Amino acid sequence: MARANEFKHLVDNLQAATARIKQRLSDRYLAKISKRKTTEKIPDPRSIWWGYYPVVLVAVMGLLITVALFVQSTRWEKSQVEIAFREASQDRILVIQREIKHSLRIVIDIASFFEASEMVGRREFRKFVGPALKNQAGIKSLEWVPVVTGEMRSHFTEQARNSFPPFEILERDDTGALTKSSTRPVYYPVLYIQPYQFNKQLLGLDIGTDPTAYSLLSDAESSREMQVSPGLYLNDDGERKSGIMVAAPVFYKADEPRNETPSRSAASTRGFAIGTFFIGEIVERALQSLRPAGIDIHFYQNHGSEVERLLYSHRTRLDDGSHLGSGEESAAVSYTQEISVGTQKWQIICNSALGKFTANTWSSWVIFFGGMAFTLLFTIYVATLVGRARQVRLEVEERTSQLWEVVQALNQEVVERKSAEQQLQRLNETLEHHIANRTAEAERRAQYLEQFAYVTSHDLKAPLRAVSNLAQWIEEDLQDKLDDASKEQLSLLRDRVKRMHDLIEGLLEYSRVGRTSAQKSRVDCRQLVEEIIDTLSPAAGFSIKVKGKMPRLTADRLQLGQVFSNLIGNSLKHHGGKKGKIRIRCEDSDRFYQFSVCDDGRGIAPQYHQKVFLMFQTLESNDFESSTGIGLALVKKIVEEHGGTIKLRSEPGEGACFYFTWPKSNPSQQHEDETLFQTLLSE
Amino acid sequence: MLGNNETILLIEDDRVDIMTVQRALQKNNLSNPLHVARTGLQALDMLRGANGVVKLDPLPALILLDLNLPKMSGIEFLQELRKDPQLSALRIIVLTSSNEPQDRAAAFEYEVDDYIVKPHSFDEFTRAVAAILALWD
Repeated sequence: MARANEFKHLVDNLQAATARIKQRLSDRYLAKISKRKTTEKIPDPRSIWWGYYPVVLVAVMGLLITVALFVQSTRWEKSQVEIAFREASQDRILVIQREIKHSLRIVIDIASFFEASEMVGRREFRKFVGPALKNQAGIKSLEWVPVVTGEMRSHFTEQARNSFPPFEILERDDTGALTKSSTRPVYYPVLYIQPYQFNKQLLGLDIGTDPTAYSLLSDAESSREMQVSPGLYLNDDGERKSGIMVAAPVFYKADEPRNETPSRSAASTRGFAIGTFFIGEIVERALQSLRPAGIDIHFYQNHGSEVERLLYSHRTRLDDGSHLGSGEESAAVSYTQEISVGTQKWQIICNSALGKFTANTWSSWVIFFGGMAFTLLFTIYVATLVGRARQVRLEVEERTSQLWEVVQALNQEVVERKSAEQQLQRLNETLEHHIANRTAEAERRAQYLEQFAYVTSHDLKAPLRAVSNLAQWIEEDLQDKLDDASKEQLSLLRDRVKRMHDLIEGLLEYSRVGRTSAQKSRVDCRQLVEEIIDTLSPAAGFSIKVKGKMPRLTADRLQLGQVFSNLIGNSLKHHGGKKGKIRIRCEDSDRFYQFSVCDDGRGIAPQYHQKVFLMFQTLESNDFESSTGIGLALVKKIVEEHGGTIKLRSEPGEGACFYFTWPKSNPSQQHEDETLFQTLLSE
Repeated sequence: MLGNNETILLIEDDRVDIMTVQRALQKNNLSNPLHVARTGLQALDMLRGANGVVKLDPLPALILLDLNLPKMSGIEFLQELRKDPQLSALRIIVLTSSNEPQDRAAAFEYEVDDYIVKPHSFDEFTRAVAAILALWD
């Protein structure tokens, strides 16, 4: 039992150790999990932003494409506008050119008219220019200016007075007032002028006195072609308007071949057809034929100061008049063209009026904002994709690391389990070692005990025998000399010696149980018990009977017989009566037989039921019977050594029944140990 | 029956046991000379005439041997005796207080003629000796 207890203790320790390891494992795993939760919020910042470069790429590309498209579209729109503007400007310039040409044509027509007729009267002139004055706009005056030499002045004046009595050649004095012309070599008096109503004060005026007009006339005379003057300021009802003077020379036909030198040309020049025009009116008239388009047109001549250069500015008819000035700077688009007006070259600059001909950039802006929006959306989409991919990757990483940690933990656990197993193994080995040690120790002690018992039996028995023999010899030798008291004492002495001898024999027998190798044989229990009854030779009045069936079994015959012998002998010895019945029975249980030995004696009180099986315990005084107190202890020992149990049922005065079991297949002690070991291990 | 002149050698260390044997022989009216050796060695010397001990001549017809002897045990004595060709034929009866099976087995290994457990009571012992000698040959 002590061995088993120790074993159990070891196994308990082992289990406690395993539980501690498990606890430690789960603690560590929990700690790992909690640690992971805190660390996963701080990933590497570099890796985060590096994943977003496709987003940046998409955004930049989208922006670039959008801007490029926008610029392209803007340019295209602008060019469209410019083309439209240029076309409109060119249309206007063409119309204006034609109108100017028409105006100049009138002067040439007048010249041709004079060339065709020797004499042109005032009436003819008026009739001739009448349609032109009516149809053509911008005409300030149409004149006929004959060349009058100094000697022909009086003749000329006379002739002129025929058709216009107050005619006189006039010139302007320093104050600007008209006076009679002083004497000159050549006069260029205005003979006819239409419309007369607005120009009557000019009639007779020697325009040769005006330097501008004079240079114009001399240029026309020398080139023999129509000449156009630079821009002039003409007075029209007190209003200064810019205009031009056009002069076309008329020569005498007969003199033509002679007019080779400039000095003679003056003599052969008959006169000049002169037209004065308001530029503005011509332009406005011309532009009336076109729908207003919002173009400001500026006319410049090629020489003179900045102010003198500007001939005329046409303000678009769409203008509400709030924006005055040249407007060149503010113009969105402009177009410049040079045209020739007779002998003059004009530069025409067309500017778009404010708010006109500005590119309709809204479609560009649509493109721009559309592109921007698309880029933004696409960027967001890509960012979402990248973010999701990143998230997936992060999740995968996280899961991977979790998995890794779990694997680590598992590995750790495996390692620890292994070490626990090893520990277990070691403990087992230690245990086995212990058991082996204990077994060896037990065997050693058993051997020692055996030796002790053996030595004791001989060394105690010899002197006892000697005492007994000596007592007998004294009695024999002194038979006649001893009184009865001495004889009695010698008898008592021998009796006590005998008792001591029995005790020693009992002890020896007790110790012999278990150390002598079992001699197994088939035993017929009925036969065995009957033999024993014979040997015991019970006193008359006692009946000892076997009741019921008795088995045949394989057992140690000597020891089983000893059990029956001691139990029956015990019943006889302690029956307490002169007559009695002793009955032996057997019951067949599953794995063992239960034998019983019952008597009808005085019985044993329950408080002694355990005590009776103890060594040297007797319930009576030593004088009464020769009881050693070994018999029942020996029975108990034999029964238990063979794997059985023994118990007592008894009440004072009601007899006593000893029940003991005897296994059918007697298990060896070794086998029993192994079974115990396995059971404990499996726990 | 044992012849009158045939000697008996008792190998026994206990004086009372020696007296027991002597008294038992007396009781049975046996007058055979009884030689006593207190140890196995002494007995061997007496049988061989070695170590200045006078040799028993003639050799004893019977040896009564105790097993529990000082210096040389009864079993050892038997071992020596059986090795000696001149002594090997001697008749031996083991007379011991040991009832141990292994002692009994060991004694019969050396072909002893009988094994008697010394009875507790002298009367029994006397009867046992009578029985042995009565059965002799």
